[in-house]
Amino acid sequence: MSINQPSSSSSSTPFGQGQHSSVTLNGTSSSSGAVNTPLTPITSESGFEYPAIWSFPPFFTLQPNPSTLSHQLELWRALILRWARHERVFKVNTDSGEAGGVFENKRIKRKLLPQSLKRVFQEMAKNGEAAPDPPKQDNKYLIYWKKPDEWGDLIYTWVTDNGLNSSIMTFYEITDGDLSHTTEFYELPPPILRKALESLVKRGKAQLLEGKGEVGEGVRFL
Amino acid sequence: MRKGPGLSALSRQSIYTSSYSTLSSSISTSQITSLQSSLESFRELLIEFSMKHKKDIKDDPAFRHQFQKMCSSLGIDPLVGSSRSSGSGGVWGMLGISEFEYELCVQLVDVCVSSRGQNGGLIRLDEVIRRVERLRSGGKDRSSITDVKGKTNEGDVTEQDILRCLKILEPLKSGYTVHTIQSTKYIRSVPSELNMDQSILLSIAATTGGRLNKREVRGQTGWGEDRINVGLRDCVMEHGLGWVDDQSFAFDHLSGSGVVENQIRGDVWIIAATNFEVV
Repeated sequence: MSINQPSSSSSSTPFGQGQHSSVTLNGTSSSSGAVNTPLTPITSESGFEYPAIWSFPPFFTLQPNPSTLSHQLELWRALILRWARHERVFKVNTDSGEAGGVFENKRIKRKLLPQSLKRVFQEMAKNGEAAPDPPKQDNKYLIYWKKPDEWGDLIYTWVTDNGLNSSIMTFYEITDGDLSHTTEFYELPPPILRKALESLVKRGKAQLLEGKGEVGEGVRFL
Repeated sequence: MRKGPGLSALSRQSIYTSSYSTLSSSISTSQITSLQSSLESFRELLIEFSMKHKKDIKDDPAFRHQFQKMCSSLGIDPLVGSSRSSGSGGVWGMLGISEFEYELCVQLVDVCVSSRGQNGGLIRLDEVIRRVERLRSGGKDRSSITDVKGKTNEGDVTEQDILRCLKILEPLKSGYTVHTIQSTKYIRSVPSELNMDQSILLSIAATTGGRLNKREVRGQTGWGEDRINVGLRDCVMEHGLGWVDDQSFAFDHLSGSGVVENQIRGDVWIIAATNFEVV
């Protein structure tokens, strides 16, 4: 599984209800032909509500008509951000073909294939909603369901509230320490943390300290 | 006046400050009150004006344009009525179009235009009603109430209301037309004509919940390969009515674009004929 889900809900499919998957949703393959079952929103086991369009098979094919495509990309961007926030997903691998989660609807046997996934993430990166990490490739992306400076603000507020300003903390302490496991940035991946802290540095609220030997990189809040 | 280095000077200082702030707030209150009253009288004058020149506003486009320009430069939206407060029906109410209809027209256009990216300008009439009601109720979906026929609440939008609005919009040459396909009414909000084959494809889609499969289309129409391809391609590329599902196609999905050498690969779904349930 290519998605890092901190609260590892393991490799279970998004749905528990395990409906057998017919090839088409509307049962057109059956003899009656005119079954018109509505496409409905679906709530996953983890409580995430997938919109009805997620059960619309063509949603997983990037559309050749440019105006349809731009609408479709907007829908995808919004859906991915909402999903990532709900599931606390920070990283996506666009290359594996097994991206899972929001990117695959097992009921209707449709998924965003790597090329489409890349296109969607390029679009998100263009809008500051994701960033390739490391830069200049399109296999691995960070998802910014909060922007780095928003993470920075959140961390800084937490630091102030806990009287930690002017103390020195390691990166690990911030995202994985005893004090932080109730925070929203618990287990925030280091690349996002670094960008968040850099935004604080830029605003004169923090100083980055190089790591020495065993001790990892640190930061002093000002 | 004696300079006060003592404690009393401190309290005097704070008394000054507080009386200044009292003064400033009383000034701004009186300013707001006078502004409100002049706005109120202006509104009355505007209504009087629009009543007096009702005929000109209705009949003379140049005059109407000037009137609208005046309204907009003053930041007054003639579409917004004041019926709730004063019982009069807003400025347009004077002009013979009821506020309800005016609002509905605006909402109708809003729904049609905002969904165009998705459906290429073809939308089921009941879907329009659902979305309009959603707009009117401020985002809540009322389909749960209106699903049961004959039990619609007062104030709900009916098919007749929408059809009347389309009549009102007609002089604008917006080209909104109603098509009946398999006894379901659709509104087409872009002026391009649907040709015979498109209409046939739509009527097939209306029976399949939106899906057009080449083999099924061939079975129903007896068309040749080319005709089906052109028909489906036009649905998708020309009109934006259809979405391609290239994963319905047993094929290794290399391109992901759904179109290869000008041919649609996979099923085409007519989104207007697809039944989405929004909760």
